[in-house]
Amino acid sequence: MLGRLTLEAFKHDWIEYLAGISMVLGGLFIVILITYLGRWKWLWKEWITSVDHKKIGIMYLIYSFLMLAKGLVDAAMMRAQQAVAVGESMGYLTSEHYQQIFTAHGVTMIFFVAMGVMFGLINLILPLQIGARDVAFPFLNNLSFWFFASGGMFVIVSLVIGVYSGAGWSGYTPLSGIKYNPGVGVDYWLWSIQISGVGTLLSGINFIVTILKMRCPGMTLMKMPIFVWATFVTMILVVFAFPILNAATAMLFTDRLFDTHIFTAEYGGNPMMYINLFWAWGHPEVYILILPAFGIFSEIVPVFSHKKLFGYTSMVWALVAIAFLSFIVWLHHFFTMGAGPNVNAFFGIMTMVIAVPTGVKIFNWIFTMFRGHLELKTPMYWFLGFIFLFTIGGLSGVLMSIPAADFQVHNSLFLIAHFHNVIIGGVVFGFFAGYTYWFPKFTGFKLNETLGKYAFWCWVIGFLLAFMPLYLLGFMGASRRLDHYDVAEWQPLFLVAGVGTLVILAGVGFQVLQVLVSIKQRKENRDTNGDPWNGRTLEWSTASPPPFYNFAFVPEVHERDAFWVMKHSKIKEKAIRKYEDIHMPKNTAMGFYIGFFSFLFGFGVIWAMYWLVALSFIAMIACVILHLYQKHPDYHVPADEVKMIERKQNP
Amino acid sequence: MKASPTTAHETYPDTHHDAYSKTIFGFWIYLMGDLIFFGALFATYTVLNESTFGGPTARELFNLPYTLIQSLVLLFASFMAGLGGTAAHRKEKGRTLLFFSSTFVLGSLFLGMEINEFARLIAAGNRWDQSAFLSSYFTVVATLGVHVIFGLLWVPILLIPVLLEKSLSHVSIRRLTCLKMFWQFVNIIWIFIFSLVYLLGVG
Amino acid sequence: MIDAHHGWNHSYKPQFLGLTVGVIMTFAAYRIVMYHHLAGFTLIATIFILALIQALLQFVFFLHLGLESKPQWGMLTFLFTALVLIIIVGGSLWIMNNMNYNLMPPM
Repeated sequence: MLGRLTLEAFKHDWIEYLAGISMVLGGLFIVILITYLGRWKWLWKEWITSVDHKKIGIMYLIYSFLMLAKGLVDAAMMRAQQAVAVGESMGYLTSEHYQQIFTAHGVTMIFFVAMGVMFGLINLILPLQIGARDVAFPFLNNLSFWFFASGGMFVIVSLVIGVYSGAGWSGYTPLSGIKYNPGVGVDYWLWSIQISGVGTLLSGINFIVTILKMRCPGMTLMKMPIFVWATFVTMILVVFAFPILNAATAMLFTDRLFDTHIFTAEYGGNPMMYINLFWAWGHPEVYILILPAFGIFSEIVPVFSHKKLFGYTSMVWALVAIAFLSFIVWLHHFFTMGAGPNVNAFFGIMTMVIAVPTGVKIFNWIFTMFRGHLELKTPMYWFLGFIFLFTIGGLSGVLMSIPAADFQVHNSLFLIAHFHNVIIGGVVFGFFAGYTYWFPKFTGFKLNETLGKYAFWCWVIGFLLAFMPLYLLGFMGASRRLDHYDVAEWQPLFLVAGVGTLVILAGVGFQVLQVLVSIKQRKENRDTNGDPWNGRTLEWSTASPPPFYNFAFVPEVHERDAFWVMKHSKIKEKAIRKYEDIHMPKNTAMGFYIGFFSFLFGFGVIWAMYWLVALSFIAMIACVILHLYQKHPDYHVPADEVKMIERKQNP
Repeated sequence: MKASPTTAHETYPDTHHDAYSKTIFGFWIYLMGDLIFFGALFATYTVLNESTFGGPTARELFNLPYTLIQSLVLLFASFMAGLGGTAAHRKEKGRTLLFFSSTFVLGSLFLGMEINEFARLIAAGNRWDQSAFLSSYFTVVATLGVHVIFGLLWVPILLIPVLLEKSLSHVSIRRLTCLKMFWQFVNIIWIFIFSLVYLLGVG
Repeated sequence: MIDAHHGWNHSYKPQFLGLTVGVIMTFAAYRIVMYHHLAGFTLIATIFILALIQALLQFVFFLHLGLESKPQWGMLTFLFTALVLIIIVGGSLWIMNNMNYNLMPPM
């Protein structure tokens, strides 16, 4: 009846109990709060079943922030362990637990924080920037979010029931195979990636069709905001790279469940093929993470330099070049796996080449600032921090693109420092910039500037303290994923890194404080006209927050920076326009249900509860059928209602 | 669902932004992604197909005449789906039902033949866990089989509303077009399986 | 790619063409192997090219590739997919072969 699930699955060491209990208590607290406020119906009607891209975007952000908390705790635990576990001392974590922590840290941060916040922002902004009322497939958008959430739940639930994988976020075979990891940990990992991967793929399709088919009149491709271009190119990477991951993890899954010998070390299998396929996805994946951040900066720098973006066309071509090149560099993740010099040389050279279009973008942003009228608000702080940190990280990457050099630092802390450098300096700072910039659009008030700047300095100084020592440690021979080491000289550096983590946590603390203080001060920082920064693109032409239908009248554009042009054009807009009925999709519960049953499906397979597998599969099919057989999936907003809403927002 | 009836319609960068165009294009992109998925499986098969671990090879195991018949069955199944899609666009309800039902029958026959072949191999001791070659063979072919199963499930799900409605609705036509694309995609994948796995395995 | 406003959605002809092409080419490939006309690299190349051509013809006749009105997003997506496939499959085979030669003992 309960398959492999026994009471053993609930037994953990005291630290894991602490984690699990605090998580359960946290969840309980939220449930009690909602009940106390009587908000269940509201939550269901307005958020869980919503197909509105703006609501879905906010749900992505909230979920990602919660996962960020977990990922940061993982990081702090690792730093604490490495600060003390030298020589005689074994630290406070067991090896098994440490392995689960670095695995969960990687999966959480990459899949459920970085991708979550980027997809959240894209959901919020994309339709507004192209003058559309929603994405191409609103139901699929909702479903994608619930698949994303379901995937994250595997990581969360593993804290309490069973264990999480200890085989690293990349799950290299044969360690992640059934022979060396027979427990449920790797299975949890597989399902968290597979299910959230389906959600990501669906979003990729959704956003591509949205961008190609739903741009407002006059917005040709070369008139789109660069953020839209960045999203477009990113989604192309998603659609063409994620199936590779799906295939690799599916075959690992059959290896584990059905005893196939595709990636095993015996019976003729080839574990290296997994690593090859994983990184054929993995490299495009890191560009999936960073390109939206590049897009965000391309929006922010012109606005806060009071100058249009320098080199729009070269920016577009740079994005396209990066996307194409990202498919032909993947071997640099395993230079040391045994390929010959020809193969290594080819991929090494391609890796160096990909730095070129990236450099073009950096120069274009700098040239945008040059002779502009700079306004150093918090978003620009994040941008300047990005320029500084991302460039260093990029340089360390180019260093490793030389196979001979990589042989020295592969899988050392130098590598760890590199990718944290580019991900934090690039993706995270990009997100923070975008979050600060677009916050007023969706809440109606700006964030507190002072606290934002304090947070920024904590993040920059904290990052330098936490990761610069790791570059040094890498050169000194420290490998990654160590839960204990014997070289006493390394400890001071690990201690400095530990301090850096605390400074970063202080930065996060300032950000949390910033939200609370800003809510308190919202009347002073109110965004009254929808355009608090004197923006250039169409999202600023709507009220803050925008009405659920985005635009009462579909905008018509003629040039880039369409809103800027509208604001400064001599042509007076027609004062009196006739309102029309607006066609909108209805909310639906099916996305939530399908996501929920997908979680039960995976859980059932993991614990061999096959009745649960069968039932949840049937339930998912039933939900799909119910969704397909809906009589009226949409409705019309009467013109009078539109008029009323518009009049209220623009008195 | 009509496009927004503004005079600006002609100035939309893509005049085909109606529900039909969006759905078909979105489904097309999904099929392209599925192609990549199979590509990764094929690459794995190509890497592993000689690793028989001392066991029997493709030449010894595959029955080409049987597989030829399988191929023709699937080809006709997807041909019927193609006819069904056309009939749907022509609003010929009776033919639509007939053609897609034929797809169901022929697709089921194909699936049965595949299951039968798997059973034959397993009974002779050549299960998927005997070598990397057999593992990757079963994985590629079974993945196609799973696609066929979904394609079969999908037929009655779409045909029942068609049966019940007076004439083919826009929604039905749109969905049947996706179904037809799916079956024809499955057939294209099978061409590669037949050629690269079976024919080259034996040749 | 299919476009609702076009004629080839309403004609049964392309389907019959696709079927004929499929039957002929399937038999052709089958015969070549069954009657051992070719061997080695020539065989592999021939069968592969036959499969490729049949697949492409089916893309055109069954799936109406290339027949949509401008802008031809379907064609563009298809071409990019083909490119990625060549890179990933070809690249993987190159890499794995290279590594096998360097690392794997004769099985």
